[in-house]
Amino acid sequence: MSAPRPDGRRYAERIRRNWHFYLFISPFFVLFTAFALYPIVFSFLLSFTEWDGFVPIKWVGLDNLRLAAHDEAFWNSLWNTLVICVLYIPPMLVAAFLLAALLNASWLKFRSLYRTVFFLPVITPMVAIALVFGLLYDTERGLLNATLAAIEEAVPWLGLRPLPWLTSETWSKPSIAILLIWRWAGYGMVLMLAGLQGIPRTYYESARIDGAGAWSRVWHITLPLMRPVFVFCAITSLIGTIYAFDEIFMLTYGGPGRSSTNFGLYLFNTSFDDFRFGYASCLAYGVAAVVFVASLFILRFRRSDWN
Amino acid sequence: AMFEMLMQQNGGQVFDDHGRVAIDSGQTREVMAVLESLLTAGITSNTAVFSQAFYTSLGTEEIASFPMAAWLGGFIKNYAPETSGEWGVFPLPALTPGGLRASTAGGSVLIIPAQSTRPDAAWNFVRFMLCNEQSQLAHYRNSDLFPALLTTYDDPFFDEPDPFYGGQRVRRLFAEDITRIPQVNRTEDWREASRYISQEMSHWAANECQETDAMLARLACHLSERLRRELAPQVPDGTP
Repeated sequence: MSAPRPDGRRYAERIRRNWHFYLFISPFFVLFTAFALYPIVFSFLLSFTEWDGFVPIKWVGLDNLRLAAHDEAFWNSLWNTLVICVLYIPPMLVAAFLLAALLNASWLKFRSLYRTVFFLPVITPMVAIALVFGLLYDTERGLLNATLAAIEEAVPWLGLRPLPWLTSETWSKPSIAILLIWRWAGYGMVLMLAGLQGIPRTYYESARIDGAGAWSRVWHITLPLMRPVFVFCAITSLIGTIYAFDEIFMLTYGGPGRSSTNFGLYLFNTSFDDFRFGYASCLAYGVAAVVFVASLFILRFRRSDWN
Repeated sequence: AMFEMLMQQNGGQVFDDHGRVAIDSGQTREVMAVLESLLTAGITSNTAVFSQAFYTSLGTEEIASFPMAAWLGGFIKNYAPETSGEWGVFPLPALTPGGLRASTAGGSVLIIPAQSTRPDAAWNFVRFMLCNEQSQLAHYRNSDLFPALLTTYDDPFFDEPDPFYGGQRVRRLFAEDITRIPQVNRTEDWREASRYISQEMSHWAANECQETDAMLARLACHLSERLRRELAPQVPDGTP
């Protein structure tokens, strides 16, 4: 048995005596309850209902899940998300690692300038970025295609040709992946730089004494010790891509066809175009549950690996 | 948007009078043929409509003409004021010789939710905005929003030449054409429907306009499934 619990009256007494302290910490709890706890609980309940925001809520039990199982557009959006992840995450990790390694080099001058420059895309509003990328990608007037056309004219044997960046179903996903790489490589770089700086110098020194070359030091010391950082970056990018919304909304609105509709945009369409709040909540909870379980699994796997 | 406009011009509907899905029709197939010939002729600009690039192109010499509703004028005046005097308006080309040369695109609605605590006040506001000649004319004068209130068309403002269109009397042209436009069926799930339509259409256009009939059949099935609406009975081709 544990120590006797203070009964309710004692609690009330304590709160009354220290009410000003509770007042000081209350803003968090009030805001959290209103803007996080309440929506989370409410949307969980909504996921078992049919509701368009106006008419009375109708309880449908697990019908929404059954609907999702046969919803081709939903599975298509998950597939698109996966493809964008595959196109975006590996190159982004490589770019972030290379940038971090470069910034970590002792001979580099103006280090903080580069760090700021590479990090700038992360703090720039997405809408502004997407507008500019939209102009860059434009099939007929875009800078990218103008450049490609100029190269084609100068060196025809290279075979470079203007591309329908946002107007073809083949290129819409790579175009979005390129924007995501550009945007998030700087963020990954900061994390990786911290990771690199956390590796003790002595490891490299003793490796050098043992006669290990530069490549071998990277392969046997840096990369294994950086694995947790890579995994962390990969998981957060995966989650970020699932819920990515503004870049796709601004750039392609999920098109052409549904070729670039990821889960985040599909969720938006389902809830705010179609007013199927119940169904959208069900999809959101379903995917969140899968992401949660997958992350737990990966972290568990990592932990046993470290031990 | 262009599809909708042509479809209405050709007497087609997305939903018939009973709210059934009627998009897979002979009228629509004729429209798709027109769109296909436009897209494959290489005379169209490959720019997302109402994107930044589109607005920019209004002020360049790349766009010679753009079929759109009367309200587009406000956008051109806003984004490309330097082109004033160089624009003109003509009725839509007919799909068939002697056919209709008018249609609609867009449109907004005002709604009063059933939960409203002041439905009377809301209704009065709607009446003030939409059923009042003064307000409607002010909309038109200041924001280039063409009035839907038929009684405003007698106002002398409609006969004034518009310098933006090189002195053309475009307002009278719009006011005369509006009476010819066929009635369009709209539903409460229109927004969702129009997303499915534009998804199928952009998929079709991005893939060289292939398998038009299959695309229309698929679209009709999709609309009927998602919106829980019946399919309208098929009318044999050639009958209006």
